[in-house]
Amino acid sequence: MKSILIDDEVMAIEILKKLCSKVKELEVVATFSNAIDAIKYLNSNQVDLIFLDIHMPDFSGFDFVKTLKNPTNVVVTTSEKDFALEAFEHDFIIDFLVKPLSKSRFIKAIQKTKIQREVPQLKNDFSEENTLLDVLYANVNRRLIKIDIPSINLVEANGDYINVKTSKKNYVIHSTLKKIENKLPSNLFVKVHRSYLINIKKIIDIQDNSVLIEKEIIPVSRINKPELLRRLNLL
Amino acid sequence: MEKANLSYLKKLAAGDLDFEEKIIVFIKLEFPQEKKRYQKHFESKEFTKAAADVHKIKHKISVLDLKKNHNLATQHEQNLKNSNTDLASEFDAVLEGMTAFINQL
Repeated sequence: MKSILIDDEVMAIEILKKLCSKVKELEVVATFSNAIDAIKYLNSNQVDLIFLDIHMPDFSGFDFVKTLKNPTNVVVTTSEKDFALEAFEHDFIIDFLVKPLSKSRFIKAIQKTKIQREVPQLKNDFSEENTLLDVLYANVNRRLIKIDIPSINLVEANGDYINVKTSKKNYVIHSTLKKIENKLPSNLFVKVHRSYLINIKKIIDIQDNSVLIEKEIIPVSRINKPELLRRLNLL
Repeated sequence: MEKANLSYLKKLAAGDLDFEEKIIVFIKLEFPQEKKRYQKHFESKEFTKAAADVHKIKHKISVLDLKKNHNLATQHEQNLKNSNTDLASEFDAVLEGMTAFINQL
């Protein structure tokens, strides 16, 4: 796998080079101290994997990812684990390594990359089906309203009704938490309390027995907390 | 006070002394520059830039295995983003401790 390394810290580049040297399939073809030079390089060169520092002056790693045109796997490296959730919003980012990098965690990221490289065809085959699965039709005031599933932040039980909350709109639907739980993708939604289902991707932070989703603090019950933690990409 | 050490570096190097030496050279080269940049931004009250400098220094802090100081730096970085300088003295002490350690490498 042809790889490039982007980090404005020379020490970080050297550590990455050392780790890459331990994986025989990896070939570091170039290193860059800023994202702009990497963009110029990628305009005329194709690589399989990019190790990218998020926190760089002038042009951040996230800005860089937005410029990527060809599907390229990106592994983010940063000293800040709070960037993890934002990182996974980007399609190309397949893993997130917190500095200082460890060999075992680095190897795991490479394994993820290998798996990712093997499944693109599979992803295409299912893309149409996935589009249909991404929406939910719910009866709201006698109309079937289309709700985009990934946009759902959380679902709250409220007596005979449920509140489906998205960033833009809330829907009050005559249904139960159990019913909607069965309709939502289990890889995206997790029950954190008898009255709450949450979208894992929308979690901003977790503190003690609550999670923050947008500006809303959602309780996490003792019974549901282990499952929530199991589903997160914890270090 | 937490003491810096090279255990992370030695584990990563796994006996590769050239690599160890190379990283130490880069620490000696980059850390004083990062520290100077932070102090300049802090003194001129450019706290957002100072926070970014602290973020950069955090990697050196973690490479020198200073876990508690890393937490302090994270808090100081967050504070600076809100122009709060409460942890400045404590962070200065961390920088001085690192400087002393790096100078004797």
